[in-house]
Amino acid sequence: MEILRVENLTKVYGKGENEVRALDGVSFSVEKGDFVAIVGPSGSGKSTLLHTLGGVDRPTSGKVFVNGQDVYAGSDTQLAIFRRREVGLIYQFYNLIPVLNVRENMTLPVLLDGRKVNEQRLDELLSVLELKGREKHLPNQLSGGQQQRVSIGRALMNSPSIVLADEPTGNLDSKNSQEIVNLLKMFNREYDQTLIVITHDESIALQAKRIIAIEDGRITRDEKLS
Amino acid sequence: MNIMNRVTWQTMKKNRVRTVVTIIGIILSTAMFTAVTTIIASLLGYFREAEIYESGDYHIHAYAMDGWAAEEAAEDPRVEKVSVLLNIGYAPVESVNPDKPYVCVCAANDVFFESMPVRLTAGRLPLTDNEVILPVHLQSNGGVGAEMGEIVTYHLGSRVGVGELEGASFSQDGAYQYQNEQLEGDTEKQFAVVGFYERPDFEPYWAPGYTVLTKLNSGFSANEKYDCYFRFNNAKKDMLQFVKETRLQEYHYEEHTGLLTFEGYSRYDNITSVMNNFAAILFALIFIGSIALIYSAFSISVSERTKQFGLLSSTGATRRQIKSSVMTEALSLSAIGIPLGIAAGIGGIAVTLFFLRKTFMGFIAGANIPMHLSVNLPGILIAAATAFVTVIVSAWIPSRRAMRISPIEAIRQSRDVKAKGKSASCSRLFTRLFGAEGVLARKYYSRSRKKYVATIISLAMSVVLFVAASGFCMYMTRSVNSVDNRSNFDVTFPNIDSAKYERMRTEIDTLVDDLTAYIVKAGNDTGSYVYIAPENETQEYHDYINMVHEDGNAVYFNANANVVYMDDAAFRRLIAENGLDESDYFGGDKAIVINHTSIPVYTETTRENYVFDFLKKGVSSILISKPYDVPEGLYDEANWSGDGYGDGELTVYFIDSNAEYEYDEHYRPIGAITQPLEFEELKIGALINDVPTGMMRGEWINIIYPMSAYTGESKLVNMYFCSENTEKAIDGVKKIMTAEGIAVSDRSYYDVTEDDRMMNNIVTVIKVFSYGFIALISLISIANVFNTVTTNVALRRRDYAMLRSMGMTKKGMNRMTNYECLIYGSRSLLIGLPIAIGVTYLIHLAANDAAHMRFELPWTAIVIAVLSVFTVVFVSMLYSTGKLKNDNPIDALKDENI
Repeated sequence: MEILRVENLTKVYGKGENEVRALDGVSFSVEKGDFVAIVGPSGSGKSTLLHTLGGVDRPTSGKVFVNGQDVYAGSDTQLAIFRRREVGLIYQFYNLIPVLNVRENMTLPVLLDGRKVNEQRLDELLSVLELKGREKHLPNQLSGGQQQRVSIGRALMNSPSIVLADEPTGNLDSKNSQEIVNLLKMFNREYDQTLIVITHDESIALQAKRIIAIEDGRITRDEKLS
Repeated sequence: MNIMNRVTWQTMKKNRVRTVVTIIGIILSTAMFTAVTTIIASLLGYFREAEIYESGDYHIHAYAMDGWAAEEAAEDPRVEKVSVLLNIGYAPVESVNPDKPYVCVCAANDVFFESMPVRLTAGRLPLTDNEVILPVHLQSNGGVGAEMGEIVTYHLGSRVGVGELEGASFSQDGAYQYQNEQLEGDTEKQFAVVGFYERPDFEPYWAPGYTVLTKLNSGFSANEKYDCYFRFNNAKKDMLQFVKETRLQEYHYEEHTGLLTFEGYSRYDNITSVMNNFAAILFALIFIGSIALIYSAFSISVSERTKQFGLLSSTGATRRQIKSSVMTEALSLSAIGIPLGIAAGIGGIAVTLFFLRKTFMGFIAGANIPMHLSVNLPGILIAAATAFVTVIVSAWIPSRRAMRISPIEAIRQSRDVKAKGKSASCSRLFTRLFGAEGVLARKYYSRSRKKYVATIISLAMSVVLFVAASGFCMYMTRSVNSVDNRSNFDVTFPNIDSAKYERMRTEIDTLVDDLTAYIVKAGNDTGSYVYIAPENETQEYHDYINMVHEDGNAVYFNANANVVYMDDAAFRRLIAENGLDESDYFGGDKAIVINHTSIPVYTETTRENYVFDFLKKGVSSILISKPYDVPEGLYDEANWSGDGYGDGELTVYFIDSNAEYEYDEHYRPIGAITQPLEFEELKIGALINDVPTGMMRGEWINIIYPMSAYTGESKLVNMYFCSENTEKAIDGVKKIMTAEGIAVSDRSYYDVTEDDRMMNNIVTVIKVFSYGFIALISLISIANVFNTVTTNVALRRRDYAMLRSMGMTKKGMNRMTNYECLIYGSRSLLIGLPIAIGVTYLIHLAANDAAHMRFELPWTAIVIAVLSVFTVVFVSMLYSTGKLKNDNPIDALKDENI
């Protein structure tokens, strides 16, 4: 089942001589349960791609469909609701809210949606992410790996259609990195969670099911791994 | 420029708004410090001038110094100048004042005429010892007239005691001793009158002679005794030493405490210390406000720069270099802010004083003493130093905090969010009401409380100051206006000969409004009594009497009467106004009675006005007491002879004030001489409600006859009038009176409006300064709030971006910020309002000593305060979040150098 389709996506920054084409006619589609790694040198446009997929950065032209729905067709509010329900974002620098504790950070997307927290899911996530007993800790009381696990929990809390991760291990040592990747793989396997991960770590990319390589805003390689 | 300073400058430039706000904060604080010292210096200067105007420019007054001692003291280098007065002698004059039978002729040196309050009303100062100026009260009080240019002949002698006081001698300082003193010596001397001057302050009220001044032409003579008024170059330093070293100690001397006080002489520092305490309190308030502002500005700048410091120190910058970077910032901000602040402070006070100059001139009747701007250099230096210290302290503390953490911690920017303290849990209802955004706002507030403290304290402080100062102004204005039974005239000239008044009347009438004059009927010491039969009195009056006089006994009477004979023209006006029949009064024997009154009654806590009529409508005759003779040495009181009010007959008790009486239960002296009070009929032509000009309502009944019906002996009238411009009217009337041969001075009339004006002036001045102060403190607070709110929001740029990327809508963002505003506002009001109300209550207690008033909150001020608090917070919030809303969340997330 196709969960994401990208058509002719273009993003241009600046004007005239300063014009930079971060994305230049990118098209592809992703099936539900896929685990895609987007690779490329820095400045190739992979972060821009991820952000346009996540509904946080409007493309200059082209379309993004998630579950058959045109993401950028609606108003800002509809876009915000889309982000809230359909997308889970994981950042390199975790970006947790410093005044909220683990539990509160993780449940934030649910609360923002005005829904009740699914305690069972939260409990499950906490134990899978090995955060049990740390629910009341504030971000500055956690290690980097733990903080990243909280942000993964936050991204997954809403059972979004896709989870987008931007260099999720970029700020971690190799041991912690592998742990995070294992977690992501586990979620992909056990929950059939669609994952799109940006990385320039070849060893991580090779653990994905599919690799899309980008250079100068264009897809240069799209290969399925077995 | 070294690299550290460049980093500092760049940072300041980058955070332009915050830098500007900080500089404004420094300007405001310095301006306020400066303003406080300047206004105090100016006020002291003004009081000093006023004191000199009223009682002369000297530090010590030595009485009757021997000539040689006076000469020695006068030549002392520590003495700046000496005003010398030589008492030439007393001469008897035909004074109507039995306590002041002489003129006292004194010779004064040039310094005296310059430095002492000798104010000419006409003519010029004496140039030789054959010329004199006379004080105006010689005529107005003593009734001894003299023309300008007239040659007066005095038989001069000195006052010596006789009989019991044999051997004593007296000066102006000793009151008249009647039969126990006489004048010794009889030197005839003639003087030309060249001028008149106001009653001098240096003549005691009890002095037996009117001070006549001539010129002292010779130097000190060993045989004479001189009154010397010394002024020192430096009283603070030299005065006590001077008194010890010279022979001053052997004479009676007095220090001029008033002037010494205002010149800051330490022994008389009660007023200056009051002023200094006042200044200290103001300084403390400004200090707190400024510290809060500047400190928070710096602590924000430092916490923002923590990462920068970390980077710098990881690349090898020493602690000293970092500290100096912070100090560079502090110094450069001070270098701009402090001079501007001093200029603004002095300028502000100069402008204020310029606009208030007329108000100040009215403070001392007749004296046009301008309020000068005095800049007190040490005060300014203290102000500048205080401001500078504030800045340095504010800069130093947070930078120290930043340096305590390791560079890596600094780079990581784990900020001071604390989990301890109260739990930040939110109830389900709360979550229902305010949503996730509300919960977030609340957690931001409760878990990083430290960042909001400055905002909340500044807001709370402004609320306290604003409400308290408004309350202060409100109570002050009230107590000024609460004087009851305000007179219904503007000016009165008492005790004018009735014949002269008749001649002047028409002319005066053209100058003034509502001209009226009365002869007050000379009754007995306690006046006349009216007997109102029970069937004639109103219930309200009866109740009032029972309420006021606890035993229900209307004590002496049942009403005091004030019987006056009113100027015929004014009486005719009264008749016309009330539509009465002239023939009842002119030629008839009826009186107009003012039947309506209003009396304020005070209890411990309340003040109520009792308003009632004395007599029932239609009452046409009551009884009034006949005058009786009071035996010499006794005084009289009236009371009922029976068991209580209305019982028996009204009786006069003649009481000897030296004797001790026992009193019965109706407070009647047992054993006093008594005599029945006789009454005659008082025919009432009309009962009216309004009081004519010059009369007052009270517990007494006013009874008015036309003046032509007057048959008594006393022929003095009291004149009253109203006027739009009292000063002009008084001048005109004075001229007419002078032409009629009546000597007038500032003490021969009473201008009611002068008091009102003066009170209003004081109120205006206090209002201007209080509100000015509030305005500045509020500005500091606004800058403070703006600064903390914008920075707090800017610091959370990433969080905002994060929340948006996670799907928070714009509406949700607004909800969150609005809720944060609500928290700020309500917290600061929660702290500020109770304190403000408490302070207002204290002010009420203080004001209550002067006039009874119910405690009332300054509601308008409270409403304004509440609205302003929310406005300031919302505007700051709107400004700072507005900047973020157009942010691309991705850019914000990427931006690490917020």
